Amino acid sequence: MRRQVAFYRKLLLVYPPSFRSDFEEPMTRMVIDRIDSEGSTPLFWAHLVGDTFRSALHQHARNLADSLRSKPTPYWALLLTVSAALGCAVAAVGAFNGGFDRTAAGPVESSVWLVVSYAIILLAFTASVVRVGLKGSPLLGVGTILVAIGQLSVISHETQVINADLSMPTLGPASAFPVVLGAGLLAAGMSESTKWASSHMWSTALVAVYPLVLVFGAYPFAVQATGSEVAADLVFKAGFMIAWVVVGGAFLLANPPNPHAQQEE
Amino acid sequence: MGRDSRLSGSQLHILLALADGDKHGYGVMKEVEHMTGGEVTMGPGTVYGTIKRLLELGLVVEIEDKEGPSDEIQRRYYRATPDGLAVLESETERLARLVNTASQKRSQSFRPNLGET
Repeated sequence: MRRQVAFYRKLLLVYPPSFRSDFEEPMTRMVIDRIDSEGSTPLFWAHLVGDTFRSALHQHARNLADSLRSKPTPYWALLLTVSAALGCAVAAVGAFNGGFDRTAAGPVESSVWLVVSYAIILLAFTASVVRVGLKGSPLLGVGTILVAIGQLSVISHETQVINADLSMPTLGPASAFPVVLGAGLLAAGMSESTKWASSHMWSTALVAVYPLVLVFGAYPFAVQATGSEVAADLVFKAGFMIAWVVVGGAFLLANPPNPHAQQEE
Repeated sequence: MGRDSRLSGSQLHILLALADGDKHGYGVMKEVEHMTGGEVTMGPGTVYGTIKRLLELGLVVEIEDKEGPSDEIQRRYYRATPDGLAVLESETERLARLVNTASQKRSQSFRPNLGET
């Protein structure tokens, strides 16, 4: 029984933290009551897992809707979502449209990957970011790792373009950056309960740095589009600065740092 | 929630389960199974997701654990509020009218066929 209860408690991690804190105990009690009186069968667990994921999805959707209705969350959340979505789109194109081998055609049209990746990651980011207010969450961390992988591919592509060597990927030192950042965000997400991950200053720093990855990844595409590295460089350095100021600034305005408040909730 | 507001299926089932007395999560689940002849089975996610919504709407309230303090994980009991019972009554009346209308339409649609044969 103890193992089953422990497993169920782990399963409950798919719910939004607020729902879990309110109902983890009675839900666990309900499962214990059910097992005590009717036993535990594989069918019961299959139903339980299905019920958990279905209702968790519903709770996340409701939280998202509630958050979007409240102020001032939508402003910075929407900005961040748009910038994240743009970055994801760029990363998806880079990853699946011959990012590692530009001479080989991918098995799936890049536009399909683009739309699917865009939709999935956009939803994950929106739900996660809006819900936790960038205090960090596993979803945010995993989403960022996905973006970081895409960015890695894009940077590889960029290196190829610059070196005019399209035969094999060349990973420069810069590729470490998105990986480290992604790992950092993942760590921040996993330690949601710790004070440092939930403090305003850390959250703000993460928001401020994030556009760098997004814009950096878009750079090689600008080089190709404009045919000029100088023009692309100017456009995207300006874009990076604007994204940084807008996203970081909006987050700061919505959530002013308070050194006396370690917890945002 | 206004008294004319409609309830979702799970909200209706849970309010019905609580209509005749306070129940905890597993008690609600068993009552819903009993009421529907086993056609509707609710897991903890559905039960407590719905209860959360009903609490927000003021249609149910949480009450003290009837079994008193214990070292085990405590059960939480819920009770339908007067507003909850009123909404339940309004909803069941609406559904009864709907069923009545459906029965009339069904009997009317069968009549021509009966006439032909």
